[in-house]
Amino acid sequence: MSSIKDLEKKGPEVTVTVVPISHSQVSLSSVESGTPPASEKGEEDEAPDGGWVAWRQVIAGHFINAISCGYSATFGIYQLYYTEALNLPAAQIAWIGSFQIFLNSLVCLLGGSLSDAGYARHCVWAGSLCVLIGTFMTSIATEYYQIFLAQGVLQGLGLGLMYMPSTSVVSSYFKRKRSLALTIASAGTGTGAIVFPATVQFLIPKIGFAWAVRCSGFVAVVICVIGCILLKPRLAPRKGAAIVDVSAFKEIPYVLFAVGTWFFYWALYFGFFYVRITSIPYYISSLVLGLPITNRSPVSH
Amino acid sequence: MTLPGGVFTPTTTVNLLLVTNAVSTPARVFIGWIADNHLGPFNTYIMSVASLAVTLFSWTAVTTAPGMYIWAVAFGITNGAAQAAYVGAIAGLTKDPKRIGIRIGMIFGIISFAVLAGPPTAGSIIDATGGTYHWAQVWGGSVELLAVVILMVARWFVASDLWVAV
Repeated sequence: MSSIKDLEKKGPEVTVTVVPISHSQVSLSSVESGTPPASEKGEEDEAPDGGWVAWRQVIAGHFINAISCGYSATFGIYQLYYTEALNLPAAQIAWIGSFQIFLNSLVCLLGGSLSDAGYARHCVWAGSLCVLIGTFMTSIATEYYQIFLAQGVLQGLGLGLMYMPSTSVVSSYFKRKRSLALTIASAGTGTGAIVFPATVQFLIPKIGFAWAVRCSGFVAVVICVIGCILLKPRLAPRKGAAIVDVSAFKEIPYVLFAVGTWFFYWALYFGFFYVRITSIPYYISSLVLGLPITNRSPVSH
Repeated sequence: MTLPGGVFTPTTTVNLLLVTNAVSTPARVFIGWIADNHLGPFNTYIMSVASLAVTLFSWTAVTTAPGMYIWAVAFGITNGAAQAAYVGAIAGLTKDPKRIGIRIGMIFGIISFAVLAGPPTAGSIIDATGGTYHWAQVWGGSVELLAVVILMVARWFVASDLWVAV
């Protein structure tokens, strides 16, 4: 490394000629450091629309979505445990799940503006930490308010913080293939919605609730860390980013889009949990509000 | 219509859930490809929501267990497609790439209240109609249709030409 630094001091031209081909990355990086920051204007406007770094973001997005949208699919299993083992009222427990989903979606507002301001990776790290602490707290919680804080508040906050950064980063790397990139990332929802419920449901009979929850937390740790390492924002931070972009509300298509999407989600959610309710007419009717959570495939997502 | 009791147990309904999740994953990827190469993200989003409306209306006709599985496949495809297409559509509406985060995040902030209001709304319709689901299903389909109409107006503001990929 010291020799590279010496070369850099002599200037980029020297580096290019001296460094052998086998060390092409070294020469590339030193050339980059030697050139002036050209990425300020022109390059930023052109999304690469492909290449390893861009598709790496799609992989990161897939992993992060597996947590941010797939992780809460496990709540239905938790709910059964809370009502049966802890004897807590089903409707109250269902409220925790609803609150988690609500907070998850609401916090996307914060996550979105923070990622524009250049804090995308910070957001994902902070979100991961919240989700993990929430998960380990869940494994030792026995009282209603403890479960509410761990799953409703902490996990809702964490999942919400994680979602937007990966989405905006993936989006920034693509233009013509943007929808495909975003949908491959969002398909992580399905991955998470299968992996996490399966982990918990499979492990509860073998090692008990607390350790099953912790194990799903360990799986989440691995997925979070991989996602965080792969994620690399492309655009320079936007200066003066506020939490709400008021100018958007002056654009009629944006406002109508928001209203239309509001209705789409109003009934979508209902439609989603409905799968189970209609299918099991005699199954504890008080779970009506809770069942959706099992199927929750994402608000966002 | 409510299915006869005993057709599904809590365990076998997990199968329905798995079916829904499993088919939604390829549907999401496929819809992204359609959006980029053929229809455009906004058009794809509107058509996906329209197909979701049809799916919810068709639910009123489901009376048997095999029918329920077929319906779960349809619902998995249409809801996965619509949810995936939506992010691409709003990203396409955003001209300044540095505002993507805040503009998508704002939509999520707004719909968080829709998500919160959905289950109680459905629950009260079910209660008001004597515990049957028929009118709740009709409500679901109608709300999705309303969403389609509003989104089509938004789409018209973006491009008045109906056949252009947006």
